[in-house]
Amino acid sequence: MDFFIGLINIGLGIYIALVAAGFPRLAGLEKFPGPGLFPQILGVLLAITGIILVADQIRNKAWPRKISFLPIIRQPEAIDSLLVVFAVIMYLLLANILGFPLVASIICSSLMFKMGVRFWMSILIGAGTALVTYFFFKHVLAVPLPSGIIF
Amino acid sequence: MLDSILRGLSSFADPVAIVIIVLSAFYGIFIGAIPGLTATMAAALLVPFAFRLDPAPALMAIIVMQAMAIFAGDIPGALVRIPGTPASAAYTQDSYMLSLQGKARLVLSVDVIASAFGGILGAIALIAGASLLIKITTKFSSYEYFWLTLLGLSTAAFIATASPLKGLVSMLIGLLLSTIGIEITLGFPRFTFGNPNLMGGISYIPAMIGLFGLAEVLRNVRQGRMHTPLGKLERGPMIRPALSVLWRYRIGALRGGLIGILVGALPGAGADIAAWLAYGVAKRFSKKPEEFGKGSIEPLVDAGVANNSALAAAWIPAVLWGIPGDSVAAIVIAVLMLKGIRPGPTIFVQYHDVLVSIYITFILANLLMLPVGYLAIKASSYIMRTPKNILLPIILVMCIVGAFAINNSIFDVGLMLVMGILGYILERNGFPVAPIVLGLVLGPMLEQNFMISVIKSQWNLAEFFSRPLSALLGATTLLVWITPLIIFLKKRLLGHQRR
Repeated sequence: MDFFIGLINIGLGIYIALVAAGFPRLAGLEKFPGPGLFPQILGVLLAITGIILVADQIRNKAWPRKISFLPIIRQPEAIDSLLVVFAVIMYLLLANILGFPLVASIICSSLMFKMGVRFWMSILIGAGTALVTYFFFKHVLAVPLPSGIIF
Repeated sequence: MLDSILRGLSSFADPVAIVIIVLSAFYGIFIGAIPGLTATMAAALLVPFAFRLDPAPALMAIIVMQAMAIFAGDIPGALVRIPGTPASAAYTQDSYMLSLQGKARLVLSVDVIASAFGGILGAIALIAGASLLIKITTKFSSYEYFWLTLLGLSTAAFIATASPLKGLVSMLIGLLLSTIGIEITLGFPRFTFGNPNLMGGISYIPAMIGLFGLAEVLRNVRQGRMHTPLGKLERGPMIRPALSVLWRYRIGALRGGLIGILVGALPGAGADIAAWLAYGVAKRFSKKPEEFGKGSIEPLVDAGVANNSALAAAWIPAVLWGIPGDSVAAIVIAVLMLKGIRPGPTIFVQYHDVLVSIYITFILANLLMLPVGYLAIKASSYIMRTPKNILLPIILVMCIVGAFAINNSIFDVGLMLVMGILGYILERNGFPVAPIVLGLVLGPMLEQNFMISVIKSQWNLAEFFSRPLSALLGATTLLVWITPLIIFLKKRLLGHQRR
């Protein structure tokens, strides 16, 4: 994994340094550094760290020979963590349409249920958490959580 | 002067303040005692609440919460060998071993006493040290600030981590993220890709909630064992045995306190680093170092004092210079700025009453820790029975809400998600997350002072060392950079020779 991170660092670092080199300067004052200097330095440093990471992996002959996602899919815990990510994505897509109370209840309850909580407990605690949070933020803190088009 | 002290005191007469202090105390214990939830995350989640309160109660909430959380992190560490917060990690092994010998209650009692003692030492340092440091503050120019910021970043990246190279990568990631947005000198949008949400840059609270909160949820989910509860406690007297342990290792306690204060006041290094350093020093000076790691109560004293004394000390650079001493202090700075209070020498003049409230709160929090802590130890058996599969989804919802509430922006929720995934993947591969946050927070300050210094000196880099303070800070920073580099090169050369 270090190997890939190293490669990403090299690519990203070079990309950033090149893009930053194109940033404008104050007209007539080209000798003054502009907004590009700092990102350029950082980009170069990032690329160097990437080179070291990759070189280390090569030296230890630890580069990945084969990439496979199968073992991960077989582990239920990995699926659970993917579901957590999926839940947040669902929130992003649906919260403004369906409103916070509904979406958060669904997310909370389904995750609990998937991770082994009894069905009615999941619904109760999930919906309870979502509703309490919604009303607390809306009426006590005056922070409007998305109420959605439907409500 | 006197009336600001009176005003500071009067903020405690408000019943709302008392309620907030008590609620924060329990919140802190709750967060600290749950492995995977950190004081930083708790503070980040407090910000939407803090936003609605006056400055003094808002800060009181954070101070009390953090003090309790750093103590409470010791509880699961002792009972199930999982530190509740990173600050307890240094002595988790010893605590657990002692628990296995049936001494869990003693361990936790010592933790409470050590934490309260450390917190009071830290508070004294804050009160006394702040007035001393104020004289130095006014002498800081862009060169000193540049070196100080870089030193803080470097300490977190190189000293506190197992792999300085990976710490450097994290630091660079954080710094690069901080460059996103409209830059101040020319109003030029950097790396925004035309997205208006990125024009203001990466908001660091949602990023922090993602990196610390969501990543922890993912990590805990990934570990499985969702039905598991956490542990239980034995019976017996608590206070007197703990006090006698503290007395026996009193020199270690004071030493730990000093380390905690120095490390805490150092930008970028907080309670967890303080605890590790104190552990290392305690082992070096102990009469029975071979027992460390097998169930020695000595490191609990040293490191337990250190991590709590670091808390108040972390506020010293935060309040004086706007440089966070640790990640919670970074959140505190955000809260101060939200309230229109700029950190800096002016705080002593304009907002002295707020400062006085802060000082009193630190002392109060640590005195409060004794009764609350003991209640916590008794109650922790119940809390720890909540299985992960109920707790984690609730935490997830809190993360979503917390990330949204800062800017009322759903983009921030997306940001939290991305940062959470990034933080999870990086930490899984040995890259520390704290330098990312620090880079994000301190990046603008580092860049600004760098640019000013470069323009002032017209690229004459010797100028960066021309003043005594900047020379000292610069030399220290270079030392922090060069030492891992030398170790790194030595390993290389030795590796070559062996072949």
